[in-house]
Amino acid sequence: MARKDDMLKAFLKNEEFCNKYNIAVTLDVTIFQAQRSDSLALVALAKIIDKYEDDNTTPLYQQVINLLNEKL
Amino acid sequence: MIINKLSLYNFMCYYDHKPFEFADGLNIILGHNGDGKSTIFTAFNWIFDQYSQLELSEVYSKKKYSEILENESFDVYVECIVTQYNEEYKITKSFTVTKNANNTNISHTKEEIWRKDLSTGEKSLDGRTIAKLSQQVFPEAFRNFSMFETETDALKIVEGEKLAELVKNFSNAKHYEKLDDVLEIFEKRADKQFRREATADQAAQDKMDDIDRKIEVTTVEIKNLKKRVEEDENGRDFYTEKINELLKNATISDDYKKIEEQIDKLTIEINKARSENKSRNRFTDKIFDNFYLLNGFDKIISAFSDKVNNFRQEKNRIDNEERNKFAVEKLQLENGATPFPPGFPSLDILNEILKDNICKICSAELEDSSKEYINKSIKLYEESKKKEKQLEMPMIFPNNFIDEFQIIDRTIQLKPEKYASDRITEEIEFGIKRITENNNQITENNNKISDLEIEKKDLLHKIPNISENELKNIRLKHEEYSKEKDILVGKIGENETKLDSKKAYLEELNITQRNTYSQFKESDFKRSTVEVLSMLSKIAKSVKQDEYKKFLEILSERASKYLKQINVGEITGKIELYRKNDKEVTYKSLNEDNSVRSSLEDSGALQISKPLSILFAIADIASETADNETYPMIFDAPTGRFSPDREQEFFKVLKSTNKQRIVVTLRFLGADKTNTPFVNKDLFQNIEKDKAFFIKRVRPFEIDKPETINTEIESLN
Repeated sequence: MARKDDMLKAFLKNEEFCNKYNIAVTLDVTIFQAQRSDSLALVALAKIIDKYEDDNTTPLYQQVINLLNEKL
Repeated sequence: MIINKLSLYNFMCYYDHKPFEFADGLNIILGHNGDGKSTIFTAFNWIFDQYSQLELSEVYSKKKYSEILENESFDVYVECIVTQYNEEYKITKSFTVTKNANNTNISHTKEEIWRKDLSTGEKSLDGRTIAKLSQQVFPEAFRNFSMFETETDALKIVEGEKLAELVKNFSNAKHYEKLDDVLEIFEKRADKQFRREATADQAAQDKMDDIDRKIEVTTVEIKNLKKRVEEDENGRDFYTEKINELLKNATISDDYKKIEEQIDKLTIEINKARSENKSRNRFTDKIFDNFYLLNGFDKIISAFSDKVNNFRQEKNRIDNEERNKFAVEKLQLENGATPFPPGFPSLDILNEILKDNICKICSAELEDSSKEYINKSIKLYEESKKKEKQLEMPMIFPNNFIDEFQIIDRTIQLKPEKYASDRITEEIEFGIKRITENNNQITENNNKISDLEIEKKDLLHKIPNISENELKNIRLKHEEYSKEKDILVGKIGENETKLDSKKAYLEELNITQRNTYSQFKESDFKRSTVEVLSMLSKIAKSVKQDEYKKFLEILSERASKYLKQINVGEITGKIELYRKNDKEVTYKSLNEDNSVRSSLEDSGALQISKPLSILFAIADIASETADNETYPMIFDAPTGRFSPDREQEFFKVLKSTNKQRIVVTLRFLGADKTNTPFVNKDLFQNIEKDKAFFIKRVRPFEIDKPETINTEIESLN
């Protein structure tokens, strides 16, 4: 999980993304915490990083699309 | 994973049971060619690589076979005991050979794995295949950079796609690769879905489709242009390297010319000295033959003078007589009177007789026969005048010894002090001194020429690919390559300009696409959803690049550290690994000031130590990234190009990695008069190692009789 947390942190170094989607960057943010964030973009990112290795990514895609379409 | 033991049982040249028990450190196996070095490598491959195919009829011990009777069998096997995560695995691959009356029967290979829990000591049969177990204990990705048969194997693996694969496997970048793929797919899928579900008028739809097509075409064009630029850049780099090579060779060429000039100068000096000696020798001869012999003959010198004078007079007389004769003959010839017989009238009188038709002697009228005779004689005379006649001055005294004698005589009389005994001795000594000096100079110059010839050869050795004649054409080649390079640089410039304009066009298309996009009225599928995914996809690409960069920086740093360690005391420069493109990773050599270092500056050992350094660095990082698991590295003859000093450093580095390394080499061995190998202990004791073995064929054996071959293992610990 530490590896995926590191991947998330690498994405959150992108200031444009954080500013646009109101993400307050904390150094020790984890995938687990990010999935419970108020920022839907961050939640979507955390979900993708968490599940991107699945053989079938369609369920993940659907989940992310539903999340973003419904609440963003 | 550690390899504890490798047992070979009737496997190739290893007759009966031959085990190697390895240490968890540096293991060195010494063996001459043909003594079974590569068999060890083959055995490891056969065990761990499921794709390794052996012709079984060729890998059983022929000695064992020769010892069994008809209908008897024996087993051939390779057994490897490895430890990983507190478990020990005994992996066996075997087959059976049976000698029949008319043929040999070879069974299929059998596999067996026994697992032993090292904490409880409990043993059990592992039901997995060896291939499956290998994936756990020695995965292919690791094996690929851990087992090298000869140094060239190592050279192949550290460039291009294979290195890219290694980097991908051992860096975090592989995770980002996958994530990047997923995000790109999500972005495209969302975009399509949005457009499908959104409502827009037909014109906007059509415009969007047109822009899509244009973006697609432009993207392909950009890709092609990039490829072309990359190819031309490769060409430019190729010519740059060639030009650098030539420039280096130009220096060699200049040095070569300077040496040739020096040789010419020395040769001229030699010729001059030889010529003087020749003349000195002649002079000495003269002194000995003439002057010196005369010296001390004072009492008879006057008699000698008289005699010489007499000779002179006699000679002059004879000379004069002959000269007179010659002068008369010449004069007659020039007057044209010679052809008439003696007593015959002259031409004028003959003409007069013919004119008057009366004989001037008897005053009688000429008879026809007389007229005819006279006419014939005149005709003969006229004809003879037409022929060129030459008279040569007679040489009565061609050597002119009398003159020589007279000169000597006069000289002695005029300058007796010059030919005094002391003076002549002095003259002779001076002559001998000069001759000795000249001879010394000739010897010295010849030695210098020999040294210069060696220097010439050394220069030619530095450029094995260039002949002596090519060396002289270096300037021409330089011009040719410079032209080619300039053409490519021009093309690169042109294509980069095109590329910039295509990129600008693509940017315009993207803006138009975004503007057109805004005409699409979103439905349940939000535009913002596509935007989030699009942004994430872009970030993924940049993060992935950063990961590669980070990993390659660490790898470069470690590889450079190893390079310095192996080549201690040598100016090595640094190694910089970089991504050439999406598929290939390569490396370049830099000087400490980051300027590009030409491979021409490197010795052969330094060149081969670069890929090895990269491999050591990868092995370090691999063990850190793979849950701290380490894997052995197995080298078969990796130090072929190393000098003894470099070899020591190489082994020192291997030892300092504190990981299991197994090296098979033919170094540190000698052979006695009977060609029996022995270990050069003085050399080998300087190599720090954990275990060492010496393999050799049991003597006597016959090379063309495999049934006499049996390799034995001697432990050197």
